[in-house]
Amino acid sequence: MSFTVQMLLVALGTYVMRASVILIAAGRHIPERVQSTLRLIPAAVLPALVANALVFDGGEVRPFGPWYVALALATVVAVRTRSVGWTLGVGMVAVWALSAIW
Amino acid sequence: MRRALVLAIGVFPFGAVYGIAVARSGVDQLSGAVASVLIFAGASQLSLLELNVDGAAWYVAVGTALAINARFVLYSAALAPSFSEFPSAWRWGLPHLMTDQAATLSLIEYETERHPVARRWFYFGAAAILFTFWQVGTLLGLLAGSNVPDGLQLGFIIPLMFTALAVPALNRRPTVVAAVVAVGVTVAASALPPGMNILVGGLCGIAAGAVADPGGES
Repeated sequence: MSFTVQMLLVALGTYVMRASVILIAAGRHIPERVQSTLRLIPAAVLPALVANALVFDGGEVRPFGPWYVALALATVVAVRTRSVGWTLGVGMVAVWALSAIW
Repeated sequence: MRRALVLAIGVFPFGAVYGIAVARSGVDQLSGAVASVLIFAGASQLSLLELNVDGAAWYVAVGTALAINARFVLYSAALAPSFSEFPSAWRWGLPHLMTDQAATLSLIEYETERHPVARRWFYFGAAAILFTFWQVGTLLGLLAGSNVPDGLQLGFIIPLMFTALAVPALNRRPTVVAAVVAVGVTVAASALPPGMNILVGGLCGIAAGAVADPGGES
């Protein structure tokens, strides 16, 4: 099956997943207890994405190195400043500097 | 909205990473570029591309990309209570623009912003900015192709951007519990097919956070 057809299948499936609960739940009341659990979603999914991108590199475990240290530094900056700009800026500069000396 | 702009600056090199990968892959360049418009989800696009280059079976490539994007069902559930107050055309259209960034920023905004019209424009504004930067990044990456040196470490922008997004979302004890468990399970579940470890890790994190939050206080 060509890349083009695969791409269209992924596009269709991804739209269905994005729209799923939004379209099913339209007009229905969602209990507060459920809403409170739903608010945990980004808190769990985002760190999972970070861990996956950091620790795994094309199916292999990434050896300890500049990425780990730079990300730890960026996390401290994120906690202290709550600023996306500072976090991205310090993180990229740190990874460049550490890669140069590692 | 300022946060969305700053995040878009991070999305831009991520888009470029994808564009460069398309240019180097040998797949149909137009389809590779159109994927950014129709799929609009970077990690899954990169995975689909890599598995095609590696010669994986089509159902493995498609299934993996969909598994990586399965987290959108969770965002769909998280956004559903607010979106249920939007007109039908918005409810059908806005989901296509859903990203980790737009969903997370909107959920943070919705804690204080109660008006449905302001809510839908906030999501649309953040999502549209990110969508635009993603397309521009893809195209420039495609054009630059293999002229971009590996020393730029553009791939690092992916965990970095998700870190910048995650930290503001960790504002209560249950959210921290959810994060710690999600990270642990995602790393431990590395034997699962690509993408599934993220989904399983995320679900375990949510469950742990819910247990740590017995009253459901917010």
